[in-house]
Amino acid sequence: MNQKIKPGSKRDTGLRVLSGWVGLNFMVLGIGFLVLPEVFATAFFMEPARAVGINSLRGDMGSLFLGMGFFCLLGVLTIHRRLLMIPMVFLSLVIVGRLTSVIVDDVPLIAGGALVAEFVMLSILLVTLFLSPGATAKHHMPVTVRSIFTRFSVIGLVLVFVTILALFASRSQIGMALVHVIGKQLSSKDGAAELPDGLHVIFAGSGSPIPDSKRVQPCIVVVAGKNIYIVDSGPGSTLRLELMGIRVGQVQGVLLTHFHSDHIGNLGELMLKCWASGARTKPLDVFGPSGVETVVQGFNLAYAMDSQYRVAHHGPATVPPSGMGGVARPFALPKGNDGQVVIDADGLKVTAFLVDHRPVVQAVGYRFDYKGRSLVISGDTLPADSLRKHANGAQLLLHEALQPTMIRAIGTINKDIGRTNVANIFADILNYHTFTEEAARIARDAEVKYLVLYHTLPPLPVAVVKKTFLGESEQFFKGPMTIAEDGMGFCMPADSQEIQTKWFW
Amino acid sequence: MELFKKRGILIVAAVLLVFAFVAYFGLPAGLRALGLHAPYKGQRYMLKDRTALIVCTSHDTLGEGGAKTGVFGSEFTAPYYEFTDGRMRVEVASIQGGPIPIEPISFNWFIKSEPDERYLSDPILQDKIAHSLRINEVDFTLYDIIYLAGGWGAAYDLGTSTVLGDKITQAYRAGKVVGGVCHGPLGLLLALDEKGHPLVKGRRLTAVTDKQVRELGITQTPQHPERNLRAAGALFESSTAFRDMFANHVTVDGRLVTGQNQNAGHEVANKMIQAAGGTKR
Repeated sequence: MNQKIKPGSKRDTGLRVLSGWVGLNFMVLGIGFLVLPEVFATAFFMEPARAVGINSLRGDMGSLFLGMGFFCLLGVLTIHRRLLMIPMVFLSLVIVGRLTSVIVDDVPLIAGGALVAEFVMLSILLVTLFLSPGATAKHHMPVTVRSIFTRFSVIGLVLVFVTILALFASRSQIGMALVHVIGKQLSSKDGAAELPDGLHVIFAGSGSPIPDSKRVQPCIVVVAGKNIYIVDSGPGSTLRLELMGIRVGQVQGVLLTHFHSDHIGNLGELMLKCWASGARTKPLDVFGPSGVETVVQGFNLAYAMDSQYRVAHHGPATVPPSGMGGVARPFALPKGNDGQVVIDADGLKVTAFLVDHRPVVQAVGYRFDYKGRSLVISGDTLPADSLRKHANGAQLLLHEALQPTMIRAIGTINKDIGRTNVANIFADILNYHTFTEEAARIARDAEVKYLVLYHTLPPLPVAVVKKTFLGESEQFFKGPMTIAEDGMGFCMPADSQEIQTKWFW
Repeated sequence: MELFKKRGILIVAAVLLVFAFVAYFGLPAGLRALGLHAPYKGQRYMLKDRTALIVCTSHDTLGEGGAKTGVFGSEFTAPYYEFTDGRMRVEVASIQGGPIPIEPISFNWFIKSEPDERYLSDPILQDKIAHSLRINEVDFTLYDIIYLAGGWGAAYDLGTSTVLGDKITQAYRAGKVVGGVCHGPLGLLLALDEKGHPLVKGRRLTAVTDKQVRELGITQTPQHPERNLRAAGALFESSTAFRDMFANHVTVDGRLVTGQNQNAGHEVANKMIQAAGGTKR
């Protein structure tokens, strides 16, 4: 007890100021969530999944931080230092929750900074509580209304209340200020430019035709040095590309794996955005197996009038007519497992090889080699010997994956509720995709370093089903294995062995 | 005293609970660890859009008025799901056609395997078992794989069916893959190879051992795979364990693929797919 510092001493004041600062932080966050819910949520990587989620952000998140701030400040401004226990309990639980996520969630620890901050704040409150003067009888008094609502705390409360009211009253001005801040941020964002020289891959779409709130339909960005290529253009993915800050105007070319709607549906949109935002003077190269001519021609035709309107409106200097649309670059692969180099430029070699997605013929996968780094994209396929061959020794394998037990269960549900055609489709897709455990065995056989599963069937809207999805895969492939989500990226700096995961969205 | 009694009851209840818990999870896990229906960790194969035929017994009792028997559960469930997961289409036939009797012990809680669980909630396979094709009406040469399931019932009607013998002869001569597990290989006894010799003569194969038959105490069946196949000139192979029901052995001799007992269903199915030209999956 003797170590405790004297009330009113310099040390006591110092600790109270520190803890007060912690409380103010919480207050700012609380007021922030109350007034600008999405802005603060974005900083915590937790935008509302639905529009009405804004209600919970203002309510739940606002109240958590305001409550923590309230008790923190009360503990400092009144004699009841014990009240600091309340924010401490919450902080500890937040830390426990974050650490749980580190253990169970296969995502990079982007919130690491927050974790450190929370540890620091908890330590400050802990020290303040334990070293606070508590020897006199006065400090053991029960917490009463009168002892809480001191002059200081009432003034504090009023200040907070007035601040909140003032902020709500000036929403229009705050909005305009945000236009400048966020507008600059978004306009100058260049996701690919921040990457070191190397081979990188980013998922703009990692799902399948079955709706998944975390995964739009397949679209993979491959960055090799300064060059950007897009593999497949699934519906919804062009929007994701732009939200991730990929400068679509700089895209060198598109590679299609096959012509199912979930792999080509956004091609028209992508070609238009590449042209209009990049002032291209040459149409976009679209590589693919024979048949790509028809696809590109169709989208060119569908977007022909739109392009004319834009030239008439913005003028040829802004949107050069020569650069509109795309140009098909078909290749025909010989039967067998040999594959063919389809791009060889600036140190990047892209090899296309046949996979087995019958009745889709030809369906292909791609291998990218750049400065000692290698990556293979399976496309849609059954387990294929050709893929095993071309993925051999690759550092990163992106393989499609279907979990048969889950797919059969959903098929049965649809059958039971009378949706026979949907049930039939669920039964049929088992016959031209790769099971999760099969993908793991392929990764093992090909001796790849890292396996990423994408085109995930069924949708995996909640984290808890990821384990179900993997099944016994971890028994077969011992290396790192990740289920892709939109915005997830894998960075491979040139001439190293490193594979880093990053978020681009 | 009163308190002591109460506590005593509580302790007994707790011990019973722990015992029940250990038995419920421990017994099946222990049997798996010993080798009964051990999970298959080997390479799997597939043969998209091709077909397999599973042939089962129609015999449902052990002797006159004896206990109920039939096909052993995992001997048709394991291969059926390996074939379907191998993207094949699978049909089920039996000697007499119609409902196939299933050995009642197969689905005991501590014996039933993962594919058995899958069968028990799978109306498609249940329907195939309830309405099996009659072998007389099936053209075996339309299938890439002919798989013979075992079980005690098979000891009564597989090895003595001349129809089955003829059908397997046709399939084998058409270049198809044939085989089975446990009592199933008895169905090969009357089949002939391309030259008209008995199919099993001089061929390496395996089936349930006389030792396992003795250990399980069911010796009254008319045929015993090891005895009868050896007598027909087969080069019989097997593995052994302190009880043979825990042993596992698979023999591949060209297009003839056999498994020793109920533990071999997964591996035999995959080796059959491989022999039929399947690719790794």
